[in-house]
Amino acid sequence: MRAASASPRDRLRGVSRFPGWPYIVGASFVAMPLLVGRLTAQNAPAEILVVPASAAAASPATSPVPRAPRAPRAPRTWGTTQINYASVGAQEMVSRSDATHYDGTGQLFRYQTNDTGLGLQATLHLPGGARILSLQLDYYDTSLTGEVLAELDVCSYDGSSCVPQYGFLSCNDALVTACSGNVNAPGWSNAYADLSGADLVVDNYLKGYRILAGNTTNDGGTAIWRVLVGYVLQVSPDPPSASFNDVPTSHPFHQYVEALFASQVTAGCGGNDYCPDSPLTRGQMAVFLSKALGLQWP
Amino acid sequence: MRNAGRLTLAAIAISVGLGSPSLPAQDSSGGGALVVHAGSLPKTPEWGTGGVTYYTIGAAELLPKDSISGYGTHVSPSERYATSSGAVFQATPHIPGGALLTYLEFDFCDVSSVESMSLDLSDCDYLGICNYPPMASIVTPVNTSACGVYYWTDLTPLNYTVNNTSRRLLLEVQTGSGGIDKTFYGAVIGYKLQVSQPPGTPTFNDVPVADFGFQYIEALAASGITGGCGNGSFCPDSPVTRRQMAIFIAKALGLSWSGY
Repeated sequence: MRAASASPRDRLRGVSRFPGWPYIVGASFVAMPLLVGRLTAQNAPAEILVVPASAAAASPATSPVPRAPRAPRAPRTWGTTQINYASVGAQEMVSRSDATHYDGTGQLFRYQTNDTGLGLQATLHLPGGARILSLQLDYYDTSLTGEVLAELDVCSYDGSSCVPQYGFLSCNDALVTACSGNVNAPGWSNAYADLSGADLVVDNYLKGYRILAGNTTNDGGTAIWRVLVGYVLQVSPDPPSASFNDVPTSHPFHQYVEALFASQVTAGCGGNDYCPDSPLTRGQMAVFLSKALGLQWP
Repeated sequence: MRNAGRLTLAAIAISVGLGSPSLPAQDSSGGGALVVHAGSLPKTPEWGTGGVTYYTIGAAELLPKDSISGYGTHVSPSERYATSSGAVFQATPHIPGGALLTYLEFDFCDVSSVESMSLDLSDCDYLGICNYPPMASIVTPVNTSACGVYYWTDLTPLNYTVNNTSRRLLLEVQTGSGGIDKTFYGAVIGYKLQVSQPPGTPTFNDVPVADFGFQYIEALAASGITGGCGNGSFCPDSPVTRRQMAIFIAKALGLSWSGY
């Protein structure tokens, strides 16, 4: 009675402007796509920011082995080279069915009071094109037997089928030994996974993203605080064709000029040219910036 | 009976079989300007004023309107269905202020042969008192078997610009008498960022209303990104230095890093 996972829209939506692009930007070395096409090769190096070596080797998806302690905070947030964080708080995690009841602890914790398992759910909102780098579970654990569960799922666009990408089991000495924080002791703790090797690129058009959470016991001995998702913004990969005569695919800034063009931030300087080496006036810069950001005021 | 202001697909002979919806079914009747389709817009670049940004409102965000709006779910999918008659599920879409709404999509599984299900998008005041009828509605056909499909409508005819200061948006899903044969997965809203319309009087004495960059330079000034080049001027034709560019971009994006 239910449709198979392959929906008609998957086919329809598979037609992109540049079909076949790998959604991978291994080393996005320019901090901002804005205007870099106008920089000359000579003065460009000063703009280059080096991507820090990613953390340890990637975790295989779905392996419920928490890493501790919590993720080190990135030196910068926002942009294409540093980690941004999306926080899914306990108060956003609601019952998947109204047969599942939950309670709080007076703080921003939540736990199931009747069912066990992954009974709570939240929608994860990340920018399209971003790459997911890490997953962190913050939780409360005073139970000798109970554990906290959390899971990141990537679903089909309509949510009709979901695939777990990574699952967490809280620190419980019966199952997990590599866990700092509080093991069977009052307090809260964190578990962290590096997902940078999983190549999870957000596509809000084709896919949906959710967090599932819950407890293995429902006595209040364990509770969820939040799930923290780390991600990095990306500029789309270098397309195989050139939109401007004077910015061929071999041009060092081709990828970024194409990104501005595809996003309709620039249409070039006329005659199918972009004039990548022309100086930029302050007036032109104002057009670039405000169109790229969609600036608004009352 | 749905009111006349709503769009409905009920009158259309849609044969949406499993895995093979007809494209694009549409209906311009119902008194509205919007057309509902079964099918999809081609994907566009995301972000910015030229691309469309898609915002998903998942089943987990469509919460019961009241305590009698019971709901259930299947094990695997990210979905909900009503377990009580007349249940209403609501969500607040979070869309940037100033964005232009372009797209509304309803994802569902409707194998009921006697009832339709509906998604409404309403414009409300800041208190949450909503204009009626909703500015956009997607109503599934009464007698169909449509599962794992979606209907969408182009919202650009509404020319609706999001105003988070004085207005609010409301999404509502209704499934009639409820039941497991009418499940909803959620909705998708598409929007484009916009640059504000320019003011009537110029801020800078060297950027008059007729200047090609007037609207955009005013945008930077109004957003506090630039104060000009002194003496009430912006110097629009002066080359921008790399130093100035760094200031523009850092202020425009509000770049931050740890240690603040």
